[in-house]
Amino acid sequence: MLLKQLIIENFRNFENMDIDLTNRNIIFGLNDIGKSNFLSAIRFLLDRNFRRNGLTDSDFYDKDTNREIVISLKIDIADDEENDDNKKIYTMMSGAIPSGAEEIYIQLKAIYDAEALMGQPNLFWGVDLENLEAIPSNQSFFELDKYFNVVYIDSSIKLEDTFKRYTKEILKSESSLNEIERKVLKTHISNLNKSVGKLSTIKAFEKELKDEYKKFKDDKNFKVSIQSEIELSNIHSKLTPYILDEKNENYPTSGDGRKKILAYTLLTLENRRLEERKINIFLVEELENHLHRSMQIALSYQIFSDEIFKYLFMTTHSSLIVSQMDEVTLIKLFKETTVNAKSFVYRVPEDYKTLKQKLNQNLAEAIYADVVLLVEGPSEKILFERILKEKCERYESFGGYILEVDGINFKEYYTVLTALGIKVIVKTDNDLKKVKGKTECNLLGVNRCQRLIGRREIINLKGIDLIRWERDSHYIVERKNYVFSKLPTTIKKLKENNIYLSRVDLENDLYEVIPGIMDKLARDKNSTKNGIDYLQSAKLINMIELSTGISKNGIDKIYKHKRFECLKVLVDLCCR
Amino acid sequence: MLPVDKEIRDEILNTSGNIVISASAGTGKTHTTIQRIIKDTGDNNNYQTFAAVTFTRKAAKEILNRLGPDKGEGFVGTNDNFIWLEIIQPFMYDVYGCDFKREIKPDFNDENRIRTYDEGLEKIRESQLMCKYFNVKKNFAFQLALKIVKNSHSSRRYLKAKYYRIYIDEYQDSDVDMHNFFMYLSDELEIPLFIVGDSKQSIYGWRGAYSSGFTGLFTKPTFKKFELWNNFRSNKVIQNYSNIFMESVRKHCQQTEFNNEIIAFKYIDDTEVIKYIMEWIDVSKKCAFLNFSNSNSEFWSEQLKSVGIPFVFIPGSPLDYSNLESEHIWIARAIANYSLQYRYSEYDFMDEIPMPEAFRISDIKTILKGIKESQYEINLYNENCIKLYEYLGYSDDLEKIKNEISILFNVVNDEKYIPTYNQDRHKLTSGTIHSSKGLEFEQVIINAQDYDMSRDGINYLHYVAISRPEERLLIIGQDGLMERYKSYIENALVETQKIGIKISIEQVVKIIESDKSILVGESVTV
Repeated sequence: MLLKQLIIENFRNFENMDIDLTNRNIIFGLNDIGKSNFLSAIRFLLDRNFRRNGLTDSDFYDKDTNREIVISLKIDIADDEENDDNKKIYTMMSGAIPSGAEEIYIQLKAIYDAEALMGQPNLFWGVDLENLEAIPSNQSFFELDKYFNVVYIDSSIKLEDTFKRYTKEILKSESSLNEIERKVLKTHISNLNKSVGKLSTIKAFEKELKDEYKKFKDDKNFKVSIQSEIELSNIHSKLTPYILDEKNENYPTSGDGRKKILAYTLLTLENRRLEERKINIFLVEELENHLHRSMQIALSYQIFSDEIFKYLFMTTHSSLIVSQMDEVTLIKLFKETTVNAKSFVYRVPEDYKTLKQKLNQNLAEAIYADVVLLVEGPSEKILFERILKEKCERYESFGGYILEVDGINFKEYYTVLTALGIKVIVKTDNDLKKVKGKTECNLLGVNRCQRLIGRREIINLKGIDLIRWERDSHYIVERKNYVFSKLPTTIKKLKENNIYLSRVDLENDLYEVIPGIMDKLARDKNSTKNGIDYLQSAKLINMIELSTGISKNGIDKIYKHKRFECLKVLVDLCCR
Repeated sequence: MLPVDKEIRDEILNTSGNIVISASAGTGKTHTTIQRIIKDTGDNNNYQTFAAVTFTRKAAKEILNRLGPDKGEGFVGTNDNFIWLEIIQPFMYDVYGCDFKREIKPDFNDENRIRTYDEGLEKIRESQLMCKYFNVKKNFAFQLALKIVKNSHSSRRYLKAKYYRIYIDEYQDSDVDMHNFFMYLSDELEIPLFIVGDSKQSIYGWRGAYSSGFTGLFTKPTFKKFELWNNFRSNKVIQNYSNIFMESVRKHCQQTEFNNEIIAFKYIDDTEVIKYIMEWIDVSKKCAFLNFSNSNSEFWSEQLKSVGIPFVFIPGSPLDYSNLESEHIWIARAIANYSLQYRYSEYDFMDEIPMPEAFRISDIKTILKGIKESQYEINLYNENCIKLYEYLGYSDDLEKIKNEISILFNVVNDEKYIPTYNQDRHKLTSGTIHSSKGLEFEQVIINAQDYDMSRDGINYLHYVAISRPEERLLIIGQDGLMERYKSYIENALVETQKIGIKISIEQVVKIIESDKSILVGESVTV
């Protein structure tokens, strides 16, 4: 069973939203953009308890009760006929699925009834969106509700409540205690009740009560007895979870973090028992609240690896919660004229399975931004951040973000981020790569850029002097300059797409702008090298030195220079 | 006391795959089926469920009552209902096109008969009503269901996904089309079946029952066969007597003491037999006089009443005739119960509604009260009954509903049907063998004239009749007819002795001849 598509029309802040899904979905976006409403749409569709009270006028888009609310979910049911969840759907829908159909729809429609002051939800299913049939129902209970179990986990989940509900379930059934246990408990409880009844304060209280009563009505036969009524059936309400420390000593589970994790654990346990019978759909809101980063990462592992969460919709603001993501649909909500969404099915690419941590970590941060500048590595990041501190210190709060790809292909980030509607700026080196055994160079940097926007790759640079290539670094720089000068149209095209190719690389380009500052830095550090070579000799450390010492004037020069136009674009896009 | 076949019963509960059980009368086959269903529902905690299909609504209701909350999401109903709700209604369109993607109503009225399969399809297309063949031995609905399942991938997928097991009762009454259908479920869809039947109790041969379908399962490799023969109802003597007449269970005859539990009484004129019955009967215990026909039942009840033995005639209710079958006939039957049956309340009525949650008991109460109060005024009665049909969601089929109501009106206003709806309340009854199926009595009287064993299927009816009593059986027979019956007993004994069981006529039946018949006999010899 594969979740495929969700269409929401005229519901709360969604006028018309059509989004592709997979089985695990992460919903993110600014505060108040409608993440919870997104989950509510699914709850109205699949959760009987949520749907039962109908839809109020404020559930209608723009409170326009003349329009109809329509929520439609498309599910692929032909991926594997032996899959138990598919079988649940076959069982559930019976003849509503004709032979050969691969996808089904489940749909909610609601028209506002001005007299009842609410919209009664009607449910439909079938294979043709234009021609669905009513789901058999009995009052507010639809056939669908037998097979779907929506588990809604609120960020304010309370351990105590979850625990009470769960222990009540466990102790409820007759078979939960064996005969001997039952007998022993009953004896103890009856002794306890007797002892409580005999307490001197209780006895005194009984007397007081009797005396007071007689002031109202002198009734000789009046007697009162106060009894303890602890029973087998209510002992569950007196159970409290304790977490044991290393010394096996009780300590009440006071910390918010542990409490929350324990509450999640209980919820999962509860629903694991239902899994055989129903399709569990987990709706999770901002799991990260109150949790330490290590807890968030631990939960992330759990959520993206445990089969019980196979159908998941999760809202979050946390890059840590999504740090272990794979096979997920990232759904970014944003506001244009109305609230809309873009989605992207993210799979950790096969080549990166071992680099997953790094890829995900960077990506998990970047997806929350609106404008992302992709740069080669830490040197760029340090320098650019320094410059932005002067030019637009709060660029991150305006949705800007600098992501260092650091060895990972630009393409991996570029594709995901642009698909989510994030504006991506690229700053990359004009790398050349010698073709082994030939006097040719591949235009690595140029073609990297070309590929990002689906343009044709440019043919190799021929006529390389092999000896000079090996021995003379100036020759390589010269060749790069040559390539740059020969491709003005390409470079212009790339710029139009916010892709900025260095003339050579960071240090050489920088030298074009602030040679004096760079040479001075080398001299000050007693180096005989020129500015470029000095920076490149210990890239990160020396770039930190440069960034710390650079004057406002120097920063101004860089910021205004065409080699570093990417920064200006970032600031413009953020501050717009 | 544990039944002697306890081991078999335990094995039946724990055997996986297809199971066929040959169960003699009174061996508690329904009990065993229920036990197995409860065990299976306990073991199964996923989305899958079971179906228990029966031949009659009554049998379905009994299973429902005995299952109680264990029913869960399971299907319990008649086999016609099963294929209609689970196959024909949902999937007919998947094979025959969108014309059939609408409500198809069951209807087995005689007016709605067809000659060929294709004619049946057209009839459904035009009228949205199910129909049946003129030839009562062919079953259109099951032919259609099989065709649908064979040609609709979606329906096969649905049945396989939904059912972990299907339980079928009274399988000996299946006709060949039903049998083919159920075998397809087992052979092709690999849905395990739990089949119970008793080829000895097959009394529906006239309408196509195909009992060799059932017996064939005993040797089918994919089925595990069991036999239940410990009769909880009848004493040993009665068991032995019913066993000797049936080849398949003769081997279960056991030595036991004979204390005149079975008597065959030969007479010349009716006064003699009436006098003998007066001597024989223990009026403090239940006794049923079982006959072939309604008219004989009435005749004997009158005769016995006239000498002060209060036998009550139980006529078959016209509402139970099979040509009245429709999706709403249960309403008329339930109204008859409500009007005529002792202590049958609105709540019992509620239990008959397929989806009782959708209706309010207070509404039902009001309407039923109105019906009862207008019992003698045909027009008002009609109106009130139609109100109930409409409330329960049946309003399209007005012609047929009116017909049902007019029969119902006659039944509730004819006192003779009161006993029919209150059989349990009478100790001494006289009715037909068909109406006694599944019931039990301490004493039973049968008439030898009813059994011409050369006729097809009569031995099964005979088996049903003689396996009813718990304690005593009286066979009456006039002169030559009793002689014919005696020859059957002798034959049966010879066959039983052939398989090595030492049994003599004195151990199974005491034959008494009336004074006149002895005289007649003597006069012949003179």
